Amino acid sequence: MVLRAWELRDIAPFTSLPRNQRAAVAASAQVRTYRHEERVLHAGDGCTDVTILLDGLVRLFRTNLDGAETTTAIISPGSIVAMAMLRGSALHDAHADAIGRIRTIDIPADTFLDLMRRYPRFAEAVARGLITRTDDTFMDITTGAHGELWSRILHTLRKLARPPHPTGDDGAMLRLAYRPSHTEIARLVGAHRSSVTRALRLLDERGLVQLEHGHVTGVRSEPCGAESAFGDGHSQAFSGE
Amino acid sequence: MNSMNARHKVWYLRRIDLFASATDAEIEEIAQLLGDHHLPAGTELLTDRQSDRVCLIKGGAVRVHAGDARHPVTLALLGPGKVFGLSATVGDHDPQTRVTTLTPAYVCFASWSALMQVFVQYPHVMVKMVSALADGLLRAETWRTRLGMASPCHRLASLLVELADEFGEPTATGWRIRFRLAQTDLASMVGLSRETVSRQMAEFGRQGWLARENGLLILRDREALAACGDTDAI
Repeated sequence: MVLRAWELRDIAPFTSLPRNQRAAVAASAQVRTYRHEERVLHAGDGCTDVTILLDGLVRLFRTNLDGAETTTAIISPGSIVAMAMLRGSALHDAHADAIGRIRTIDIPADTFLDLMRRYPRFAEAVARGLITRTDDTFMDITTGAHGELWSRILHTLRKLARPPHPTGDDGAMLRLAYRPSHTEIARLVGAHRSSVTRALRLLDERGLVQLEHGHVTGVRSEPCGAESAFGDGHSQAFSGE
Repeated sequence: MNSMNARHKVWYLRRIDLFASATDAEIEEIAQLLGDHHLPAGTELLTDRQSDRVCLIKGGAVRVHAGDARHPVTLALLGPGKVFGLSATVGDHDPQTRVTTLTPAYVCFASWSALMQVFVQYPHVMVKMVSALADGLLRAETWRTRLGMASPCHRLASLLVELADEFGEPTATGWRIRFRLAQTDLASMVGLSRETVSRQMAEFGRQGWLARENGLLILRDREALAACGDTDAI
């Protein structure tokens, strides 16, 4: 599949590159397309490239010896999917699955590192992306450690619906491209599935999420009066642990 | 900067992986741009929320924590070579984030713009910075993963092994973590209650894997704890 230089124009960190350099990257990069839930990377597989997400969302996760999965991040276009080579490792450290139809580009690690050396603003954009993702992860840790269950659920669902994922026609209600199961949400927020199911039912009654046949399909985009009122009345009803 | 001070700075900077690929002359120039400070244990850093200071740990250890005074959450423990304060560079100030030295520490401060000037002149140093950031992200996601693990044993054991690897020293009785860690610190890092951590640590003690000597944690059987905490299947 051919990648056009203009397709990289709005994708960080390539926006900082000169046009001719963007064209060179587009000409040499390997473009791959994945359908919804297709495996993009396997943890432990060898890697020689840096993989960047062009379109869609990707779920990064790990599995333990019992086979249970834990989602570590939901990433959006411009994010680095496979960054093991940046750390000097030749093995992927997480699995990655497509959310919806996605496209990625593979850039040989040597080429990527050379771009960082030659173009400081490119390297700076890469650094800023890593900083933002790290902050997001620490926010997850903080929220997970002490937020109320309903708050943690809303926070997690909003990550699944953040831009550039298209919003729906319901005004403040964001559509989810990825519809996690109650079990998956429970893993994401560190709670029991039954507690998540109970919480989602209550959140749906208050109009903070949208359920269709038990599946979460939408979430309110911003904290609102209904959310704080929900917290006052229900924080003791379920702790979720 | 006198020559002795400069050699001192160069020696410490050489010990930090971030600058390992730079020559002595380059490091001396970098040191000129960075101001370093020796701070006693318990010193709080980054109290100026409007500052875009980036901090690099040259020696010792610091704790990054957030949350309010009633519910402090330890986010990270950072040792030599680690960088913090970068959130300000992306305009994401968290007014509740605190950084406190756990041990006496040597810390370099620099503004992001000053650091970028360094990277423009020494691009290989920028590459090292990105590598260090990628390491930091992996560390954060590893801790995030622990929150999704069902077993307190797995969560706590993997954390203890990681702390021993980074901040431990060998002793006659096992691997000693070099500074005091309260059960609340461990609890917040793995998303468990203090009571659960207390019970699990008691169990580790009964197994002969973990002990406390003079207030410091000793991993008496690091391999057993590593096996307990090994939940990453490929």
